[in-house]
Amino acid sequence: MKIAISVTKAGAEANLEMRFGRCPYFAVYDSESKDCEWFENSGIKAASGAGTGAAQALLDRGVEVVISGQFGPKAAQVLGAANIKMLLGPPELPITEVIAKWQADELKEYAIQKF
Amino acid sequence: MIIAIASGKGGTGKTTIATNLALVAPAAQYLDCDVEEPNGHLFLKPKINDKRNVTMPIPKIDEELCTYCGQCAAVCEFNALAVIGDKVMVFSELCHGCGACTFTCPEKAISETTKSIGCLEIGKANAVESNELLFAHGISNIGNPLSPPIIKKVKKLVNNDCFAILDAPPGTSCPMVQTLMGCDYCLFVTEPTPFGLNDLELAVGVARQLEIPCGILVNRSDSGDDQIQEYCRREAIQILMEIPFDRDLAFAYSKGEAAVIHSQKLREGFQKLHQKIVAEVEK
Repeated sequence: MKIAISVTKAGAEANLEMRFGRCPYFAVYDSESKDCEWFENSGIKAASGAGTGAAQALLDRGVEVVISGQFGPKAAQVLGAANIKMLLGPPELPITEVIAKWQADELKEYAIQKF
Repeated sequence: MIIAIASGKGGTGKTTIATNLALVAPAAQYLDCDVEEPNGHLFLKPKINDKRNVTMPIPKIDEELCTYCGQCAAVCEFNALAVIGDKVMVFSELCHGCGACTFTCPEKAISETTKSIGCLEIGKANAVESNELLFAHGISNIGNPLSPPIIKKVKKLVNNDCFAILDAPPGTSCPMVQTLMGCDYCLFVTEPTPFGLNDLELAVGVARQLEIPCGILVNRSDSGDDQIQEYCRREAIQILMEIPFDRDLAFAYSKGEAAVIHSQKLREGFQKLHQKIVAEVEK
């Protein structure tokens, strides 16, 4: 299973980034192979729709779980429609600890807000 | 002749200047381009005789033809589309109506439908000395994030035989740029404060980029400091008028009344301002 995490930078030293749509990088962790790869989030430069763009990019990569500090309403709509699990992690937590918390099932699920 | 009344900083007196100028200038037309909060009508009290809906195109997906290839979402500069499995989501509030998705779709599964984003109101007001003043303004729907398409429609109403005054929105972003584009002259209304000067410098930068000649009107000119005057000297920008703080003017404003109707001195001042602007444009 592929898990995406919004992170502050590329590499194993990265921390969880508070923002989903406008995070600098995404880490994609493969729970079977234990491999992790990073890709730049084009949403950080987007004039609008950073959240929907980031969500689409993760869907295109076959991600099934997304961990971030917070999700915007439009990003959550896209991820929700695709049945992607959205989990909330504490900002600034090192990525290795985020993965450990996910494995221990300690992360809270994001509840879609109705506006 | 088309002139814009802009400012950079909000609350410096754009509408006060634009409406008073419109009331004294012969054969004038007033067009409120501050479509997110038009307020010139409060002072001009026009009789509206024409109301038009303003729409913009948004994509409509034909699920019968769609193969969910995702090219529409990929081409959208504004991320207004998302393709999830066998679903296409359209976020119309992000859409700029550019039509790239419709053009790109290999299956011709996208057509364009319209969405109302605001309206235009057109009418006439009474100017000083029983002249007729042409009036128009745009009103953006509440929650509509995209005002430039409405401003474009307001500007289409410009009567070329008139002295057309565009009351610009504050700031220096797209709505202000959209208003200034194609104008013959821009009058910047500012105030002698550090905020007024900071935003004036940004606004003058926009006018210069667009190659629109500009001049300055200093409102509440006896308050604050003289940094505006120094800036204008340094940058060789003409100050066309200075209006000191006047309690009577503020009182008339608070009641929604135009200053030129009450004050002979201001009426003459605005007539002079009109002549100066015409001279600048014809220079």
